[in-house]
Amino acid sequence: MMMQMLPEFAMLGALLLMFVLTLSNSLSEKSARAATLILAALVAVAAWAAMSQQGELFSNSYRLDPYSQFFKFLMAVGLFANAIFGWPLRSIPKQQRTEYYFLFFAAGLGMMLLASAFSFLVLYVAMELLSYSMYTLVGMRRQRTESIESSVKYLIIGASASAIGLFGVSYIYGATGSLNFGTVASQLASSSARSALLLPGLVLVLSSFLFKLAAFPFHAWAPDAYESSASPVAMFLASVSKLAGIAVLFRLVYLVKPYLPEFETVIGLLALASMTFGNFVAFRQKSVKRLFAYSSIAQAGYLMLGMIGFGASAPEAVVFYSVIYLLMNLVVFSVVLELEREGEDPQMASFQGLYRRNALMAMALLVALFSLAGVPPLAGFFGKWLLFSSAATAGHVWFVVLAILNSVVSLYYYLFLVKAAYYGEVPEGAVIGSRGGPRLAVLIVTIAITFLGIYPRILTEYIGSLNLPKTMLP
Amino acid sequence: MMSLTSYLVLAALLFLLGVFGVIERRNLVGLMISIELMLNSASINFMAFNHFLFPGTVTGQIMTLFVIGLAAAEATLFLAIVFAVYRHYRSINVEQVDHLRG
Repeated sequence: MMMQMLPEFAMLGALLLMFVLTLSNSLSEKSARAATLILAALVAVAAWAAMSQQGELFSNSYRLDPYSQFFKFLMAVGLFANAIFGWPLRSIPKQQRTEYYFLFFAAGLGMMLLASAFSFLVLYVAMELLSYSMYTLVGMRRQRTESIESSVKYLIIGASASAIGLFGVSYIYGATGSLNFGTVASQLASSSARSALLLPGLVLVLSSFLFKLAAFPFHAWAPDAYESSASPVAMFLASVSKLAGIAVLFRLVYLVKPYLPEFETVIGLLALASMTFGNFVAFRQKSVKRLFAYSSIAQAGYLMLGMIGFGASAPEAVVFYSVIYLLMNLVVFSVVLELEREGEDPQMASFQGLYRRNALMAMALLVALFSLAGVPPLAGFFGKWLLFSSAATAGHVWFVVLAILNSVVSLYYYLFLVKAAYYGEVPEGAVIGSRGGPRLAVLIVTIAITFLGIYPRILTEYIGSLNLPKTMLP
Repeated sequence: MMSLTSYLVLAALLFLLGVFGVIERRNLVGLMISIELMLNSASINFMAFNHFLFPGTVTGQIMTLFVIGLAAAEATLFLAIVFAVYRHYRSINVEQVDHLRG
């Protein structure tokens, strides 16, 4: 078991070590960051080493399969990248910076457990571990009162969502007598008399996932949380913490979908609502972090659309897009961090003339935004193409048409930022980014986005070799 | 002898009260109590199903224990944040804690 759960144990070790380090006051911020980078790298190595592990642990409530192991590796890499990009922690008070890293690993452990959860009990505990860490992280930006306000809003909405989900789980338990995903799915296959409770239960559980993904109609916390939290936390929320929501929602959808055709339509409609709402509200935003919050609501919609796909194509599309989604958001938020001033968030105007100040960042922004909008030949285009074709093969052509129109709309506001960055005048007293370290990392990720757009095969073949459609089923 | 249905109705009523409270209450502590009501209604469901439909198993009881533990953790976190809110705003009324718009 030690070997099978290596990434989780590595994360737990890192978490405990960071906890001990927070107790010593003498630890400088630099050494805390160095320790985090080393520990995150070790976790990533552990996740890579455990890539081929398979099995069912704890009386089949914890499942290791290529799907979960791939997501764990992706999360570990995402955490490592967040530790590199999410710096400096300007807006987090000095004495809390080690705590930031501690909560960072606590959230990471919650995410990894979510990727493997195969029972509602594990799911609930892991989701709460992730959520509690996130509530605290969002409220950490103490110079601004809005931070604590958004933290309390996030907490209220989050706690209500998980209570609603839990109530749904209690109905599912009543209908099946089990908390195991596999048993629930097989009970669905044989429609028994008690299954009247099952559908309301599943709907309630689904709505609590939509909250985690910040999908319409449970998105309300996202823009506030993104805007008022420190930018590294916003990056964390937008990139890795989304992956956990995607991983667990898709696992459940994939198990339940074959027996409940209505579910497909419901998720498809919610996906469309999410994209349309996200894209149209993003238009009006002045704050860049709010804009990206709405854009991430739209992105959640695209992903959900891919989930309803048919057979083999859906898992591959969702996993591929998760990788791309992580890369794009890392780049976008590292540009936001670069433009951040002491205690203030970048507005649209801060992007003016970015090209003349910092050509590399402007180029990275261009690539990431075009990729988010789905402009060929970038990776975002191919990712969306996979998602949309997966939904289209399942017969939801109208959903796909509307989703493509949505992508066009999103291009409009992304182009606004690009225009400001390339053609705008440099405002007076503008920040000239001068961080040395993350530049190389930003360049690498930008190249990866372009490269995966031109040669997506490298990744799709690897994902294909995991044989997800078979291995995901119990 | 109470039947399963009466427990389910009780839990559903408690749950709806909780939802109503989350929508209507303006006091942060009141909101927390409403959320606790929702969690406890789920616990009642778990225990009732376990007792009436699946006697001899303990899945529902174990789930309830976890719910109680996590609810306690959540209350701690919530109260800590409520203290922080009070320090900034000198109030725990959500209508006064409302600066973010959009």
